[in-house]
Amino acid sequence: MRFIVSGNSMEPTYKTGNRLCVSRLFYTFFKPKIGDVAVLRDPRDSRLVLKRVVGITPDGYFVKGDNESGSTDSRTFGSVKKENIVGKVLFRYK
Amino acid sequence: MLSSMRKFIKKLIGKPQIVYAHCDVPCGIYDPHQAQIAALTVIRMIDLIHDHAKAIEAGDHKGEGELELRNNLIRAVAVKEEHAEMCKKEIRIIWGDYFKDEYLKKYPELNDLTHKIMQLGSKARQTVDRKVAADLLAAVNRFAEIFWESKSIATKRVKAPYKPEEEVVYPVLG
Repeated sequence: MRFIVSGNSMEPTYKTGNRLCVSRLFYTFFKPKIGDVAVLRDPRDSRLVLKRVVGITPDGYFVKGDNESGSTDSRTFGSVKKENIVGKVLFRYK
Repeated sequence: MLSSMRKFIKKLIGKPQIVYAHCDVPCGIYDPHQAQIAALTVIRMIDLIHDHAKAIEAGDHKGEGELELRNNLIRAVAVKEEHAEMCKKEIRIIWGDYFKDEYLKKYPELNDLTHKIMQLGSKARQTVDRKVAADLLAAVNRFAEIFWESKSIATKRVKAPYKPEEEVVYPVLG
């Protein structure tokens, strides 16, 4: 799957307009691990968001933006369940 | 051949979708400085209110002069009202939007401190007691210290280089 980044919460890693190649299949075989950048659904409104997995809790995966002061993430919406994690970012191609 | 293959792959993968690397408040700009200035202004206005009241009481100014003094006194009250409220608003924004759960756990005094600022801000509107305004500034300074500490930025306490020359917490930058 391909995605276009919108927003600055993953800066400096990914910026607005960056194109990402994301694998949905990856997480059907492997569990997300700390450090992965993943496309997931915001549990509040199901919007697709881009965050980094920074912790694994009994409730799910704690995700955060690399740009901490400009990111809404698990600090606000709590841990994210596996079924809300859409795919793993493999690489940026633009 | 290559372009048709590329087209085929693109078709297979699908059109790119938007993924949001977002923030509910898109700017990420938070700074307690505005609240500190507002608290300083409240103190300054209380000083001015007392100065004007003394001058009116002394009765040295009659007619137009006294009217001017009364006008300035009322203006000081209006500015005090406005800045006490501004101080509350700025603190509420930082407390509500910037400080996440993890900070509230790390700084357990934050909720009580914010509540204290709300109460002192309201009290500062009701009264001309300098002690209340000084307590408001002290609480806002403590709030600022926690804010900068949460960003791993050191702070220093220095006297503001203007009246009422009270101590203010500044971040040590660069």
